[in-house]
Amino acid sequence: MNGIIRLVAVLLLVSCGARAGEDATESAPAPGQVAAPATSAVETVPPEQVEADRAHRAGLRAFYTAPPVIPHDTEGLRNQDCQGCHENNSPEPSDQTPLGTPHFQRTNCLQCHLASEPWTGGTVTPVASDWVGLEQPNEGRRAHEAAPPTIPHRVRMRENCSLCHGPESLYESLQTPHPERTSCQQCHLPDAASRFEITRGDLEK
Amino acid sequence: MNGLNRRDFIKRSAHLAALAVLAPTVPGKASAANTSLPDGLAWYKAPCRFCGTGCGVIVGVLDGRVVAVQGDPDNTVNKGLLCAKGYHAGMALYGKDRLTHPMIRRNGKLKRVSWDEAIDHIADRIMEDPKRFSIYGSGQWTIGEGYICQKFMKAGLGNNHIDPNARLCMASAAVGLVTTFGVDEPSGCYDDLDECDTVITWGNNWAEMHPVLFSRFMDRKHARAKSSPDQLTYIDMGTRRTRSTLAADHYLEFVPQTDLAIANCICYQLLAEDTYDKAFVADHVRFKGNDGSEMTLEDYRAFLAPYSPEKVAALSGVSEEQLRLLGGIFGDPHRKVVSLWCMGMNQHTRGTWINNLVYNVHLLSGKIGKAGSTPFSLTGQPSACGTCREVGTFAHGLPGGRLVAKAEHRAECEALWNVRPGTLNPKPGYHTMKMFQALNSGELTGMWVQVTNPGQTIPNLNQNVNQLRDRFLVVSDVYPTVTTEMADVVLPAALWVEKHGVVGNSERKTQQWFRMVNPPGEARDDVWQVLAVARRMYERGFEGMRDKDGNFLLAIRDEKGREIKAWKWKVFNKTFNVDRALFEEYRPFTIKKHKDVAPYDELVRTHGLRWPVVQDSRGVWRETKRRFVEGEDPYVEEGKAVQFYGAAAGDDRAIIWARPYEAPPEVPDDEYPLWLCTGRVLEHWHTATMTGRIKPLHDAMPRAYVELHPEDAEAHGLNEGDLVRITSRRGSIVLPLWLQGRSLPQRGLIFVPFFDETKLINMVTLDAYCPMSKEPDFKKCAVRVESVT
Ligand code: SF4
Repeated sequence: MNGIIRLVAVLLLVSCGARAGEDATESAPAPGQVAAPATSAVETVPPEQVEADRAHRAGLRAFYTAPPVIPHDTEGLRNQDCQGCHENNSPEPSDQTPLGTPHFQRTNCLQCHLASEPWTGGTVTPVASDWVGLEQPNEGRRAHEAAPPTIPHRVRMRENCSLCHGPESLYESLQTPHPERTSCQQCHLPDAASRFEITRGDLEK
Repeated sequence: MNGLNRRDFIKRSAHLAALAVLAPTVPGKASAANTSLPDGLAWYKAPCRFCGTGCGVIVGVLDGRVVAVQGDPDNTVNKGLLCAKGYHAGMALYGKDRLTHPMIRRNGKLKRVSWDEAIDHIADRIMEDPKRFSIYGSGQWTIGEGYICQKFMKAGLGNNHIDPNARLCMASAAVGLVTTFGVDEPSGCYDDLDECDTVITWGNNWAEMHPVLFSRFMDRKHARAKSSPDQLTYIDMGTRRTRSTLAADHYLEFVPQTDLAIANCICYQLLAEDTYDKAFVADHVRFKGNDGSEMTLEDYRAFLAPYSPEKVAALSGVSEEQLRLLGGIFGDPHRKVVSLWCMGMNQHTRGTWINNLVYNVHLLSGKIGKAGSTPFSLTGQPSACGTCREVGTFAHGLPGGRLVAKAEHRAECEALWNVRPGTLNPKPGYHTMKMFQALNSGELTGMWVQVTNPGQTIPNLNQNVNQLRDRFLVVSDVYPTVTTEMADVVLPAALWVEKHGVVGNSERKTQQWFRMVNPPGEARDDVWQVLAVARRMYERGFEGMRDKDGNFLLAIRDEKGREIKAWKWKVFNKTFNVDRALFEEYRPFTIKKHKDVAPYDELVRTHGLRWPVVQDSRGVWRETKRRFVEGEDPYVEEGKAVQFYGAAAGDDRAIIWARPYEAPPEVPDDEYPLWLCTGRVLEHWHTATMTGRIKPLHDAMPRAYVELHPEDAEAHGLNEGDLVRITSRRGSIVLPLWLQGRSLPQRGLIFVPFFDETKLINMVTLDAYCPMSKEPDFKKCAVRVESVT
């Protein structure tokens, strides 16, 4: 029964989303909508765990749009070695390992992902910096109670949702409650606020 | 994995690292769930601050601060991808020790002064001895910065002692292009990497130095490997195995300097096997002897006699089979080949020759001027092309490919600058190496250094910068450096998106950005600094700062021609875009040699345009992907297919030069048995004054090291981590040994990166330079190593 209600809700939202495009999040609930929101893992995982997962993810990046550093020993590692554990040759969501890369088509891993400990060993003198980075938005928005949440982060180079949100995700708090569904962006739309439109950067006036 | 499952292991090590790695993003806010990006966050386009690849970035700005950077998906260079430096570029602005106020050295100490005092002091000192003052600039100068210094020196002081650090970086590339094609800068573009089937790197570790371009080809190569039997080929030629080598199908390891012979060997085979492109050679090429005399094809064939694969194999250490592989690739009319190089060929005591020789290979095989086939000289710095080569900020140059030695060129510049005929000095000034030597000897008395750090980068530092402290040295920079340590005046500069700017990358692409945040404290744009000094000199009646009508030489005018008081910081900073005015003033210079840059407003609108940018019949500004190619380059006449219109002889022919092999000036011997090669690493830009203050980059690569071949290490009784003293005839330093490093030098060669200001490898390097380009060789000198642990 619950499944049917959910399905109805999804279908309604899909048609609603199709009309409103990326602004679906701001549109009013479809008339007659009755479904309760799907339970998300975030709501079943203890808050401390959610928090710890978040802090952990944030700790690997200097700011929201930065590539994460490599959280393990990199002694002697080369690009080719990364693929031993992180290779993921298929864009199919069913074919993932928890350690796959969300951008399998990229092969020069060490171009963006830095070692978190010096390649050369030894101690590191600290960097004195006033940098304050942009924080990653953590949760999507729901237009109303029954609506599926938007995707709060960038999708580019993370097109493969199940890597982080599948049952094998490193983070329990990110796991989807409905792993059987594989067409994620059918219901979850990129959040309008997460689009990156270039402003004319003119401070003259 | 000892009972720990893989995920747990990763998770735990990740947690440990997380604690050690990065500061929390927004302190105190980490616990609140946030559902969207903050109000007021805006994204602006800019080119990356660092290398000559010229990737487009999008900079996130919130409350007057840069808070994020991402790749620009609409930029054709990188299509959304960056390297670790580019992603973290915004953090370069926020090191705690930013220079925030002017300082003058008094009684040996740098003391805070007002801008007025600093500008007065500099103007006084320059006016005391204007002909013996010099400017040492940079391939990291924006076009506006280089242009105003150029005008200040050559028109204002009537003095040609201005040269950029690009002299150490791509002078050989520029002279190579000018001698072969009659005009500077590559004809191909990055798109050729998408269309070629073979890439050959000539001593270039692009996986680390031009990583986005490396990915552009490698991602394509990997995808092709999975989908098609037609594989793409990558051949790496070098003196050490690098990250790039790991991705190569073939690695050709050569004895340093024998690249000269290898290039000739390819041409030898093309003639011997009769596989050269006869039609192309007949239509587009001339032959010249090393002395400039005309040659026939038969003379050239005779010149090549010593470069048979047998002989070159013996000299270079590359096997005959591998040399024949190269000959076969260039001899195959169906292969589309891109050659890439950068410092390996440019920083070479025969840098100009080796550039000419690689052009020979492509000209003889007809692998140029076709999509996917081109020789392509990569640039190190973000605007070495845009500013140094195009604005001509060299001791011998004038804007738009002109030369101080040519009366016609001087006259054109004098007219555009509205100065009296005869104002420009026909005698070239001192190139970088001579400039520092002239400062040492006292022949030059002062220098203004902008956007670079010669105290760390000049070869043979002991010899070449030892008197700098005793000369009048002004340094404009953003952080304390080895060079500011020696300065009499330190001026705090605006950095990257703290100012407006335009730069030009390796593929002739000009890119513009607007100021997004204010510079910290009292830091001000380099352009303003020059303007203010010039204005002070004008006010005091210095004749050179007047044009022929008596107006201020560096007057900035609005579109109606009214003068703007841009020397006032408030006006400069708040009310008028001086960068636009300077760029539009400069733009007419670019037309003569068909290097037409786009109008500023077109650059604002787009994500960069490759010159020549010419309006089509419908008024649309069109960029040029490939120069000299009919249908792409508007300056090629109909029916010509390929037209090398820069040719000095006016015959539209490129020159194949008979350049011989020549031994390097210093080779290893009993006393100094090893070669030393220096270079960069992925994490750091230049002397790490910026990247060294970026935590993730610094943490990954905090200090310099030395790499040896393991057998050499063993022969010297050296183990991983040992401290090693490296000594040449010029100096010595101590570095830790990294055997498990990312490169594996050939036997008999060691590698040291130059970024570390606490480990100045240029104490050791050789200052011999290419006699044509005057670019020093940082890749080869003789050293010995010994353990100090
Ligand atoms: S450093 Fe070079 S390759 Fe890296 S992002 Fe910047 S321009 Fe691109």
